[in-house]
Amino acid sequence: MTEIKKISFFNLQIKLLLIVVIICFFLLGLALIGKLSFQTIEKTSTQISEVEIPHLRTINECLYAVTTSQIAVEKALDTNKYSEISQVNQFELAFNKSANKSEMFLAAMTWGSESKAFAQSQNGRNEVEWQKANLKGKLRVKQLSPEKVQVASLASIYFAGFRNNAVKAITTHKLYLQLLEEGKQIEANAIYLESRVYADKSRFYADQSEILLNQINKMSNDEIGEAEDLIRNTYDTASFRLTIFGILGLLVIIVIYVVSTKLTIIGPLKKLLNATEQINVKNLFTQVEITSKDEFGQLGQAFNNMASRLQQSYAAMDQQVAEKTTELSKKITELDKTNSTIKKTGLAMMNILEDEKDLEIALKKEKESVEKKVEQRTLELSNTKAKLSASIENLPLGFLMSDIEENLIVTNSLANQILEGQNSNEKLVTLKNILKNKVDITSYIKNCGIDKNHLSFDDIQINNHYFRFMLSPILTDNPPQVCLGIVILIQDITEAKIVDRSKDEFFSIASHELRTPLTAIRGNTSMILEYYSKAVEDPELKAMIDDIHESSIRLINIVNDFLNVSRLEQGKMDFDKKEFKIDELISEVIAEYKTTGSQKNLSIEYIDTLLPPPVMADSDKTRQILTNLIGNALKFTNEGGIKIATMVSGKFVNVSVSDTGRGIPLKQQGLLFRRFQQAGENLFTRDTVGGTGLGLYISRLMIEGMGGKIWVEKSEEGKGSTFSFSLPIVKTK
Amino acid sequence: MKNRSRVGLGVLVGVVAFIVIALVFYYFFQRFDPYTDQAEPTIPIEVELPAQIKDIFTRITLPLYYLPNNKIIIDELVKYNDLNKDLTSKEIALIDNIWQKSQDTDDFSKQFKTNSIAKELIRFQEIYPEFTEIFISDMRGLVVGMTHKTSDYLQSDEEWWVNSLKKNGQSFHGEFEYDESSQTEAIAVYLPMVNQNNAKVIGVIKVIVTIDSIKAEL
Repeated sequence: MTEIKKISFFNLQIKLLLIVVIICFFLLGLALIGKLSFQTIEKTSTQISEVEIPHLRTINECLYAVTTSQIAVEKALDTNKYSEISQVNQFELAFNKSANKSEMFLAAMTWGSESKAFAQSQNGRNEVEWQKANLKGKLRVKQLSPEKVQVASLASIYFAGFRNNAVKAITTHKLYLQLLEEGKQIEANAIYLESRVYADKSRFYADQSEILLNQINKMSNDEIGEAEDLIRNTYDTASFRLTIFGILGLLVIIVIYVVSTKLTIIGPLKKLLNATEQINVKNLFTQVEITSKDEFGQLGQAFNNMASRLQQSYAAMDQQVAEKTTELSKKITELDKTNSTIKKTGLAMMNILEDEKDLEIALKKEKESVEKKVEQRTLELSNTKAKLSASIENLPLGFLMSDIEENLIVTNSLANQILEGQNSNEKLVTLKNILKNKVDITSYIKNCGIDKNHLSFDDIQINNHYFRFMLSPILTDNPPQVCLGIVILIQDITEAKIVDRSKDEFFSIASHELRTPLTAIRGNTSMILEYYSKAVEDPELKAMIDDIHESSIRLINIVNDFLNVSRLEQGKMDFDKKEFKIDELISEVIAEYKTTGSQKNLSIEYIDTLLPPPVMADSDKTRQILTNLIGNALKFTNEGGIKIATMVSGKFVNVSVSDTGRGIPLKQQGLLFRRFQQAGENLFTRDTVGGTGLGLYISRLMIEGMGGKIWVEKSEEGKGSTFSFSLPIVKTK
Repeated sequence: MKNRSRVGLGVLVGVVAFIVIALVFYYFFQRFDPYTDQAEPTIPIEVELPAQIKDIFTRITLPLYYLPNNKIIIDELVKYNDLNKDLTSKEIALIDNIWQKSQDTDDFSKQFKTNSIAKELIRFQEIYPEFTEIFISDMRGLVVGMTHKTSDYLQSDEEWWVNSLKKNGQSFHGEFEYDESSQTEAIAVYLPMVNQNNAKVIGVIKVIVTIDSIKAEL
């Protein structure tokens, strides 16, 4: 099989290029014939309009002027009395005027009206006359042809003869009239004869001049006639040439087109067609003779390749058909076997149908047994429901259960007492009004399957009593959990509230009262140790005073914590919020703890990858929080170190304190920021490490008071904890 | 082989087509223009004047026959002929070039307005002012004396000069033409000067006659 070359765009096009070239020549020829004919006609027309017609007009004007001047002379000579001398003068004037005009036109034709010679002729008189006649720029007379110039020159000579003799004739005629008037008849007659001689001469020369002018006129008319003939001939010739050229050109194009297409397209196509017909009658060994390298050559090559492939395919197909026939015979044998198997299966199925009747009897018995079980179960359920109702009724809490449609399904008597209203709807309205500032009951029920939130609201005051409302969704056990409704528990916390407040007040008062004597104890022990150390030489006594001093300090700190909690809870703590740099504060606190860290062989580092922006908070309170967190970290870490880091998160700077201490169990992490809570093993006992359990609680209240948050970032037992808090960034203007 | 013969046939058809097209173009694109096809009209050197005008013209130009017989002019002309006979065509062309560039008052052209021939011509012109311009060229057509500066130094390339040689010493006149110096129409008269011994032309006198002189006679 031969590889087919890439088809070049110009293979066939080049062969057909000859036709295109011929067509181009043909069109070019048509255009050229037209252009040449138009040029000739245009040139001839221009010659007529710009040369011959102005000449004719000038000749006619000149002839008219000659005739006018002749008439003027004749009129002047036609007078017989001296009294008519003024008329003679007028005719003489008219004669001169016409004569000047005639000379002007003759000069225009002889030299051309735009030429220097014309402007200078007759000492410029002709140019002046031309302007007076308003012909300047309007009648452009070109110089006559050389033959005509000779004739015009002769005409001008004769006209000069006419003018000279006419002037003499008029002058002598005037003398004749004067002599007549004076009565000198004889002299008058002699002069009269002289005047007639001049008049005859002038007539002769005028006639000669007119003859020559008419000759020029005739020459011009002849030339116009020739030009018109030429235009006609040009038109006829152009038409003839266009027709013949068109026919010949078309014939040539057709012949070349037929030959080219036969050689380049139809011939190769015919060969391909014959070969295709051969393939059609299954003569697969047919091959096309390749005679060119153009698209048809490549097509022929492709055809040959296709024929070879077909031949191979047919051979392969025959083999496959034989194989498939063998396979088919085998399959038929197998099918026969399968048929016999199916027949056997039919028989087996008949047997099964007979067994089904026995099955029906067994089912009936089973149904009766189930019905008995249902009855028993229903009785048990009724008992359970009664127990549940009694339990709800006897609950020390108000109990309400609503379905998803906001219908109160179950309520106990305590709930009915708390919530006013005759029926379920009124109670629900009352409940919504009570909690309207806390939660939208309708949307809570609507979204209970999605949010699955448990809500608790304390200090809800109804008729001088304080209540806690607890809302929980009722979800199905198996996933996906679907919300069936909600349960609302109402707890009367009035008593607890009073006790709590009394406790707070007790703490506040006790702390205040305790701090004064404690300060005195600490001050006095401090003074004893500092100024009377020599007086206390007994080591046991000194140790006892040391204990008193340290215990007083510890007690003061505890009392301070109590006082802070009391102030914070009662909202009496003031926050002096100012702009400060948190990184500087962190560095200061670290410096304070460096010694403690070194004692425990712990490192304290501040990782300040990016300088945080200034924050708006109470720097003393922030220092206290940071001190508490680092202190805790040091307290619960024995190996490794503490790392403090800052990070900008939205409009806040997050400060994190990480340690490698013992970590906090997951279930206790949620209780860390509560009052008196410590991260110990047991929720109900206090830690062995010491402390009031108020540090993180105070930190939380302080950070919230400054508009931030505090939380446990992560904590893993044995690996360490990370506590973080956030403070607002100073707002940029 | 078939492919080659087909290409050959294509080339043959192309060549034949090209020849046919060329012939067709040759036939169809011959310009036909009356103003270019027609032969240039020959300018009649000797215009046939009407008898009456011719008589007057002959009468007016009669004094001109004095000039070819003027001894001073003849002698000077012989001298110039002798002087210029060895000038090469190149040298003449060079002088002609200088002549064309020179002004009327330049020394080079001035010598031909002040030499003996020129003096004779100017004296003659003073008596006959109707002859507005007169100059004489030698046997090689080079100007040897003049009343006004001519446009060329070499006149032998002029048709009238060539015709002068063919006239066997007969004078003749040209056509009507515009004369710049007199600013009127004029006729040129050519008077060949012949050596009586060998009948050879030794120089030609050209005289411009204003037709105003003819007009005045009518």
